[in-house]
Amino acid sequence: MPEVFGIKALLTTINFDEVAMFITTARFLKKTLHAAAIAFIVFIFPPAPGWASSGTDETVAMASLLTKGLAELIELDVAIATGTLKPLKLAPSVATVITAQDIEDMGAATLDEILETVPGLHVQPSATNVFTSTWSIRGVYSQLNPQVLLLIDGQSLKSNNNGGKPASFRMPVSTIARIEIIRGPGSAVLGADAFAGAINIITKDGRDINGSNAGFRGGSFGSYDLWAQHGGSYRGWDVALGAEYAKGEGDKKRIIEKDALGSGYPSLAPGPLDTHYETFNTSLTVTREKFRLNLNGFWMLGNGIGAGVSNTLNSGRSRADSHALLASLVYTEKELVQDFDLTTRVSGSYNWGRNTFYFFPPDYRNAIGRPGVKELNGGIEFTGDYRKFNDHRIRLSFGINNFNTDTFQEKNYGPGIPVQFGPLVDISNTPYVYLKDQHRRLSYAGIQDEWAFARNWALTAGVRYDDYSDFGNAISPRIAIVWKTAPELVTKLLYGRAFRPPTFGELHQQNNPATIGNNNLDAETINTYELAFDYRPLRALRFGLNLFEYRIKGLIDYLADPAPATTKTAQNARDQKGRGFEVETEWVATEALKLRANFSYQRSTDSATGAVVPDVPAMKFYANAHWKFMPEWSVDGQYFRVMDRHRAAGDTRPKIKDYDLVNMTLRKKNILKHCDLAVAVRNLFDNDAREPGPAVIPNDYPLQHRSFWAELRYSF
Amino acid sequence: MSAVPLQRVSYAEQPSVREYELKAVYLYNFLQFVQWPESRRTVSKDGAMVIGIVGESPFGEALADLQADVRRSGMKPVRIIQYGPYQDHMDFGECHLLFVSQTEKGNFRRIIARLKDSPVLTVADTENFISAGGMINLVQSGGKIRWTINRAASDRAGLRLSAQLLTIAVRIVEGP
Repeated sequence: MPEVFGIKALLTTINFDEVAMFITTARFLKKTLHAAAIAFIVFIFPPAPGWASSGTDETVAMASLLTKGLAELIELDVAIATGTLKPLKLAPSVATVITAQDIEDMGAATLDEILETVPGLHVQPSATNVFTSTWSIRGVYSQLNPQVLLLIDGQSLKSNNNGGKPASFRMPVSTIARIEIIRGPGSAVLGADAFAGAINIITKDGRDINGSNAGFRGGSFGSYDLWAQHGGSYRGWDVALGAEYAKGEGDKKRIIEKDALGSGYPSLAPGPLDTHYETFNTSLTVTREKFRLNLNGFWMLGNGIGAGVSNTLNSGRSRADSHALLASLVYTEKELVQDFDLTTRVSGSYNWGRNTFYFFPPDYRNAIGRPGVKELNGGIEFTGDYRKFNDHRIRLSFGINNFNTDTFQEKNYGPGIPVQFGPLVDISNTPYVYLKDQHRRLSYAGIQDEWAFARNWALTAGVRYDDYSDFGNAISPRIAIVWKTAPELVTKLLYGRAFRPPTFGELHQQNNPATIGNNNLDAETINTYELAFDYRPLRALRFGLNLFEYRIKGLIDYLADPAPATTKTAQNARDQKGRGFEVETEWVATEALKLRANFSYQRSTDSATGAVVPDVPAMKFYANAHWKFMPEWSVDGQYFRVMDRHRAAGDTRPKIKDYDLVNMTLRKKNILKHCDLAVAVRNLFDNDAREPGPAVIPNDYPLQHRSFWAELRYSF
Repeated sequence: MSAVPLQRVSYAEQPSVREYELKAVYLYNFLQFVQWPESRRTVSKDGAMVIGIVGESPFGEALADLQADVRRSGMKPVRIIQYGPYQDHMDFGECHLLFVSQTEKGNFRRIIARLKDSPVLTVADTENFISAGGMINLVQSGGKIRWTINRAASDRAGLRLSAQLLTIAVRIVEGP
């Protein structure tokens, strides 16, 4: 039988042991991973009775669609995803998406409140940067917080001088359609500063708003919030316009018992942190087939700066003012040539900032400083998307950015000032200014291939090269393997390298009594490995487990200069390593009840000394229940626990106490026609929760006490 | 700021699901509004018709939901075949309807040629599908989803489209 011989001949060329081994290994690996994920998840979250869920919103929707005729179907409005979005579970990174609906459900009034719910991310005030919130991710923490990239509609919002977001940045939520938070390195795609993570805020377009609405929220500590927005379609142009104004006195019971001058005269301690704020935000989005225009404005109008610039209470005279205006225009030409899409993005931004610092209380020493900055940045980027080859999706990008910083300053002390502690003198454009005007040009190019190399497998590999005119360059590679292990399980193995260039301040700061720049600095770099599982045993139930390990080289810090100098100079001072995990779960228990929880653990240490990175929580737990207990009524509860925060080496204070907070929000839709009402309490049990302060503030920074607010929304 | 990168960070969980839920229901409806030639009318014993997807499926869980809901409500059953990325040896003969994903944009002509006017209704939601010889292309207009029809192609394959499909179509082209 020739056929049999043929097959036999064929078979002899194959090494059966190898094939069998390969198949067994693959199966074994798949089964083990599967079992491990299930065991782990079940161990942490034992199944509750009533586990099997009934249909979710989506299945209901599907069933009802099936009952409709074609004529009815074509009249339905659909939410169209723009571009080629992927399901989150297949993203080649560890990401969290929070939608406007989630934000409304949890009753968050600011971006900070939203971010605190993200596993591995913790929000706390900076001790040295005008009490601006810092967002630490997985134990990567610093006072100026330049290691997290904030993007507004894909455009970065940061200070050239400090690297982080603008001073005293505070963002209300009415204009937000969606927030995408990527933990882990993003430089291979996003370039500088997507180091510990990246936060992309997408503002609402006309379709998201669809009509007009306005809202008012008022509550404890003299806080109120007003917003209005309109969205619609005009001759094929989709337009969205929104504005929000917020103001508050701050909780005056956030008392600092002792400050850098001790307590009692001349110190104003015990006394309150100054946390008053006034902000104004605007957002305009115009889209049409190939175009998208975004204009976003942020105004911080004299916000309080906590315990003061020198951690010395000063009766609320110091303030931080800043504005940021962002503009970007994106044009996409699909099929520019066959199988090739080209996206061009032109963007520009203007930042203005000025801090008014009274360093000490009035009776102690009249030291006043008013450093300011004007920054004008602009750039153009081309991104090509090439699909010619089977199973490959190649993206090429190329761009140029210009960064310009002009400084200005008034002060009444230090070099160049004729009468010390006398009247303010303008020292802008003199050798005495804190930072000379600076310019930097960035050119970059990147390539990435998304390759579906086998059924259920995708490999994303990319690299980006960034060249800076003033300090050097950086190469940021990434590799991601995404494997649909089983219909209900996705496994990802990720590697990425990211960088953070030294800021203008770190390179060139001068005339500062404490800290001096150093133009020999290198970029900070981080190498991160992640293993992530996304497991959905039921449609309504999801578990995530992310394991990570990272190594940072050359963290920039100010180190003491040799005596007799009393200054500190910026250095690539330390290396850091860390590892940890995040577990997340989300369960749509019934159509009316949605439960979520996450737990994160990180251990980060100084690579040389082994000292644990201080001030950030080693563990964090968040739980949330959202229950629509009657038609049009909902109640939402949030529970936060922040645990295990170490002191810096040499700080003899006891470990910072763990704290927990509970928030509740009650909402009634259509309390009147087109009018929704919500009432909320934050820190329901009025717990004494504290975030770490420097040694001169021995009892740390107390968080806000119990507070209430009520909100009305009207749509028309 | 800095003109940062457009390379999109964007991932969507919900919105795309909605869009493709509706599109999944359309595919199911198309099966009822097309008459196949005698040779293809006999289907499997359970009477299931077959929808094939070639390329990376954009439907998420929508097709699985469709199948389940169809079964639950006792409607005519449907079978789904996910072919994955197109390869030249693929045989789509089993399908009544073949949905060609955007990810196969570069292969439209090859896939159409592979079908050789066999009675398979080809559907996509990508601009140049019709000009490549595809039969139905789903399009967005004013936030709604409708379709254009290439009648020459469906005629060549011996498929008879119902009047309703044709009247609702935003455009009917008679070639290539």
